[in-house]
Amino acid sequence: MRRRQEAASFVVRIWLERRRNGDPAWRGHVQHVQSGEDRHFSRLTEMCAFLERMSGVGCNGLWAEKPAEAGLTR
Amino acid sequence: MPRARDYVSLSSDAAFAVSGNLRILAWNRTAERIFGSSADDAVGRRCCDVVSAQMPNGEPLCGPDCHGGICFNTGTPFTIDNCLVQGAGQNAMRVRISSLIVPDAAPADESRTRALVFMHRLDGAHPQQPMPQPLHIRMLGRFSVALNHRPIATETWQRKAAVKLLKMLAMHTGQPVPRERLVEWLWPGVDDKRGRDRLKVAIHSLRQLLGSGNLIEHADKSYALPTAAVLLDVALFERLVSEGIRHARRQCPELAATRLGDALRLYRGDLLEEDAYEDWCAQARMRLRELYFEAAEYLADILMQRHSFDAAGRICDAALSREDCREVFHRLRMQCLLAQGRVEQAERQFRRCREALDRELGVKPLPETCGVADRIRALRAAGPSID
Repeated sequence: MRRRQEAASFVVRIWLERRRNGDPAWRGHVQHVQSGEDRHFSRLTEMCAFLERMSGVGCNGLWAEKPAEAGLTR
Repeated sequence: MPRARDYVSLSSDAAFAVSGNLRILAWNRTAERIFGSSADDAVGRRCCDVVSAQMPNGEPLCGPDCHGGICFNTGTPFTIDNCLVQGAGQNAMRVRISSLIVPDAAPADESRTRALVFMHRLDGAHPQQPMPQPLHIRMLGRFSVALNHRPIATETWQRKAAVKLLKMLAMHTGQPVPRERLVEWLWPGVDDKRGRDRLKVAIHSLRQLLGSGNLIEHADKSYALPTAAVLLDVALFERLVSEGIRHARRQCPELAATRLGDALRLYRGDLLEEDAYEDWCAQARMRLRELYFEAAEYLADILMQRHSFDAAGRICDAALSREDCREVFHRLRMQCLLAQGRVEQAERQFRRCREALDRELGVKPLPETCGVADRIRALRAAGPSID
């Protein structure tokens, strides 16, 4: 039986497209390291959708928890 | 009448003649003695395959795209006041390099002498001094290693863990890497004892394969490659980008362009391309790619200000070949083409930009880019372009 993959790594890059005037225009790129699959995004919700699809973990569920429950505090 | 290459035999310094493609056409006796290569061995080979020189700070001078070659092909004499060359027996010598351009030779003609190169030994040279940084490691693009300027075929190593270990230690050159971290990277999930045993074997293999036991230091349950032993392209790339950006911010465009151009030439590809699915180097790979884009943007800007539109365009094209939705490079490319009067191509570039942004990001071009597109349309309406 194939061992279930226990960890997934993602690398996210976010950059500012140079603008002389107006609001900053942030853009990003996320890559799932183990598969090499990646996508660009202009909104964080798009990045979350990619994380959800690749990891099977719902972003909304995670963020709805209190930080301590989500393991985000020491 | 003697040919230009015949003059090398009259020089008391080590001297050789090269074609525009940097192939050695003549090689004198002093060069034979100093470098340990006979004229029969040297003639016909590229000079970077026979001569290996580096700046006192370790920056390599010789290579297929070396600065000397660029100078010769643009008719500029090449001089380095103080550098180290590797002589026979792995010893380093301090030399002054000077050159003489042969003016009537077509740069691309392989059979004709383009330049004569002279290497004058400087006083105070220490013949027994070993060449600094004997291990040259390239990690940008595909992994390659040379020890004392002799390539090592790591792909033929039986013990793959030794290759991976070398990459990990090289990535952290100068920093001790704890044993546990190496084990976790190499054999995730293995128990402590087995991991330590495997690591000992891998370290032993690596030392044997490098043929020089003291290149890997061991202290406090950590291993390290000492900075003094390794010339790493990643470290050089980061330093050149940092210096280039600093010069650009201080309004020194000439120095900035030299550093940034050298940095971009070192970036032959993303970090360890063959390890695209490896966890341990993924973050560094993306960080270095961002650094590449930052350097490319600074350099393209400087080149445009100097009206070197072709060169700036090449920088933009290279950046876009890595990521097609980096809008700033589309915009700079459009501006280059516009400045050259190539209006149709500029318009095509804008279309490509719009399609890439829509496909990859689902966004429209920024107003700045649309502003350049408006100028293109206005020029199109006004008359024919030189495309």
